[in-house]
Amino acid sequence: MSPLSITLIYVAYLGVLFGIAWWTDRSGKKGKSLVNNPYIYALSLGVYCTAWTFYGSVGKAAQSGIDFLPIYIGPTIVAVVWWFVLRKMILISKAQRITSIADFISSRYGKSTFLGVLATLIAVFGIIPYISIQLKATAVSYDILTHEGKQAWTGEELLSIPFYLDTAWYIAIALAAFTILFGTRNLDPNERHEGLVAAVAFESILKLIAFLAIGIFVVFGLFDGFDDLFVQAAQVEAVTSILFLEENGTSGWSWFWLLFISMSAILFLPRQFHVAVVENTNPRFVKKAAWVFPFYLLLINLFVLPIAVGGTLLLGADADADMFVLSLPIAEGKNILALFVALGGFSASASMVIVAVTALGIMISNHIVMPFLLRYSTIKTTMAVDISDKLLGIRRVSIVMVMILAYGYFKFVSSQYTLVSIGLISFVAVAQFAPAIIGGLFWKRATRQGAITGLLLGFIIWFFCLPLPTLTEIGLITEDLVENGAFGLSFFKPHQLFGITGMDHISHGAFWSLLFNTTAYVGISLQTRLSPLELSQADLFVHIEKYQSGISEYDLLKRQAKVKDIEEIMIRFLGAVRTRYLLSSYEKENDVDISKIDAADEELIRLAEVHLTGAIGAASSKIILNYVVKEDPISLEEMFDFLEQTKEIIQYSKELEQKSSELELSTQQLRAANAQLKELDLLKADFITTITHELRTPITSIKSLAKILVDNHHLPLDQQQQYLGIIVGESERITRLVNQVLDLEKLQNAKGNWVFEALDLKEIAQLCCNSVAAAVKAQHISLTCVFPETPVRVLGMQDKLIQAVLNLLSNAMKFCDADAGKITVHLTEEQNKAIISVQDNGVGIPETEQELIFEKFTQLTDRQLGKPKGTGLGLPITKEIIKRHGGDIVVKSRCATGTIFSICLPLLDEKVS
Amino acid sequence: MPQTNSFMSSDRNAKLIGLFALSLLLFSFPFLGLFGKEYYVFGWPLLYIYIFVVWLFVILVLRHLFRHR
Repeated sequence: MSPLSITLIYVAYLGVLFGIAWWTDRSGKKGKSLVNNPYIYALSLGVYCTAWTFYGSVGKAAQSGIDFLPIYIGPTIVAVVWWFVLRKMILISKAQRITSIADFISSRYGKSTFLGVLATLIAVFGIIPYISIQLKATAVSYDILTHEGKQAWTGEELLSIPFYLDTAWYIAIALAAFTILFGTRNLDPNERHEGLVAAVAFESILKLIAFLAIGIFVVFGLFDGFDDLFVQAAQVEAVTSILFLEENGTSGWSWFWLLFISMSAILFLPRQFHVAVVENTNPRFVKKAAWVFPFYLLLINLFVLPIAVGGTLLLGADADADMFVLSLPIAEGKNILALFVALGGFSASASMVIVAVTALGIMISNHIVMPFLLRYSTIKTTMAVDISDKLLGIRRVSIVMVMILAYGYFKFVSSQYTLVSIGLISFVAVAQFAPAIIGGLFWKRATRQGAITGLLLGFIIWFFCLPLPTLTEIGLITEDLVENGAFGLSFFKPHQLFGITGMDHISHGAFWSLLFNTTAYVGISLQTRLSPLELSQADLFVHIEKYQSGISEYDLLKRQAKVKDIEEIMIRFLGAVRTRYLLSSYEKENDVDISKIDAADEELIRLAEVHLTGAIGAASSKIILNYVVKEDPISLEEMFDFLEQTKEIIQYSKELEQKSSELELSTQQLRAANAQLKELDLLKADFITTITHELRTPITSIKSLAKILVDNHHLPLDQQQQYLGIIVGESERITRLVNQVLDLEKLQNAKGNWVFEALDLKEIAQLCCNSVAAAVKAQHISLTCVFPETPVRVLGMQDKLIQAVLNLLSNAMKFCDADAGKITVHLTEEQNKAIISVQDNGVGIPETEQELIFEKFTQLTDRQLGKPKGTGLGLPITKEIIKRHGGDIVVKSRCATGTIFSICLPLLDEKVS
Repeated sequence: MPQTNSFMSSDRNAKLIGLFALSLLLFSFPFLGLFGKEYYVFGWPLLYIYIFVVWLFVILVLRHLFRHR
């Protein structure tokens, strides 16, 4: 085919792409977004599949079998957890108006300008080899089309021809121009380019169809299906080695590293970050993309192995396997198919270059050029010109510079290597972002210094191990360095760092760079402190859900600025129209008139910050705002104060809680005491009724008898004597009652001086039995006394003890069976105790009342007679006496079988006495 | 229904983590070694059939987990 017609077709294709982009942007402006669709989103992620996939995978497969696959399996595995990782990155980026991966890292670690520069440099130097292989693939495929299956120049020749004879040069120019058209037409504050996304999605479809077409052509056109293909392959030894694991020399170690670096590449490649995060219109699209995108990868890989096998069988093992997809149809004379496939390959390259270079352009202008301009020119001169025009100019220049560097790398390095081996160098560079980003998303303690040290170390080791040795061709370094190590030190060999051998270059480079990167990141983070701004940003990243639902408790930064200054800055960087729109919607939302207020509140400053960040990146907007905003970061002391206060409040409320529960407890106790008092009061009232009744009865009889004696002087003497006898008896009864009341009061209130002496309890018991013997006999009660033979020695007051025992005996006499009364008195010794018990055979005491009988003023009611028999003071007095002696009195009773009162007294210890 | 949603999503989160671990295991090199033998299924070498089947399995499970939620 003639070069002219092919060139025209390529240009026409670019025109179609531009048409799609233009049409998308136009309907977007009309409010009908075409890219607001999960499938378009998933397809735009297909920018991952570049010339590497389209041409390089076949080459890799022909060379070493399944080694081409981990690059696509890694993203599939990580897509499973996109819902946690990617969605979080999107939410954070939308909240912070983050526009690139460098912006993301810089924002996370306190909007560090230096980190922004570092991340941009890593991205640019890391991606340049990757862009160069796109140029190479496009140039080589163009040459193959125009030279009937042959390449125009060999790698050796390429080094010496002038650039204007080189196809890649013109392709670089065309792609740079096209990128400028796509990516820098206007300055979108969110860096969203709907047209670009639509074009990329279209290209994803085209390259998939083209690759499936060539796959089907090889398998079903050149061979008779998969069976035929693999049966033929089985007979050629050079081909069977790539089909089975045990023979193709793949190691588990390199498999692991390929998986790992591709897992980080799918999220952290600048262009992947751009389409997946910056261009994302809805975080929920991640759900659909998480399975649609892996499915896309599966489809585009389905025919890689068959094409590799078929190409090796038909064209021989020496042919350039990277170009099998073109050389196979050309060898068969299918030029139209070859052209279509080349167009698919071109779309794979073009989409990668456009998105990657746009993303790099944003990073260079926002993180390197802008901070530089702002820092080294006075604010007055910077603000005197409209910066947004300048910004677009900076972008265009950076795009051209990146393309020139990529072309240079292609011309001198990439042309000597296969596509995949160069592409993997870029993957390892991008994997250096993994610790800082994954750590930054989930580990709040990570600090700026940790991230800087980790990235710096990783970048240096990456550069030393991977790209540096590829520069020998252009004489930047000598073969000697690769062979014998830097500075002649044998442990500084780029491919055998610290003497490690047995790894392929990529695994080796990834291992050392990531080891140092991660160790430094974690180690330094633990050794350093977060500044207030870092802490506030870290919180915003790690706990984005909290901010999402608007329940963030406090801001760590207090800032002050003048409204006038904020407005001026916004006009400079966002334009007057946009500023007016933003401010008026702010006024409406907050119901204020900006022209009437002087000091801007935090919300207005944040509004300006967010939109400035969108336009020029976090670090630059921070620098600009620093000119007008007095940042008043909360000092560590203030923060501790704040935390201390919170702690105190919690402590205080805990104390309150405790106090209230204590209060509740004492209330309960009080209530119980009150109930007891009420009961006692009731008892006392009852007692008084009883006692007055008891007193009134004898008084009444004394009064009436005395009256008879007064009125009747002539009563017979014996009758007078009888009446006087009754009066004396009744008076004695009153005296006894009064004495008992006094006794009890004395016992309970006044401590009195009790003088104890050694006594024989047997004697006392005997004395008591004797003294009641007559009364017992009169009532026909049988009294039995069971005493031990030896004396029972106790310490006590004889009178009191006699009183106690007599009380029990008189109770027993009162309550024992009326007809066949029976009383038994037992005296025993038991384990250092003397026990004297009095048993009767009366009606007994109900269990419910057994507790009560020892209370003062309690009388048991004889239910048959309905009248109390005693004063109600006998038992309380007895109990009080025994208590004074350090003893105890208990009652055992059952209804209808009688009652036993037992007095326990401590035995006298002879030795002590 | 926000209440049931949060419950279901925490359930789904656990399943996603499980699937992540499972796919790491199934794509690990020792596992691939089991299938790296010289054997053909549907005309394809066993190793490639295994990889593509596991790949498709992960995709289908993911699709199922994210459906109607």
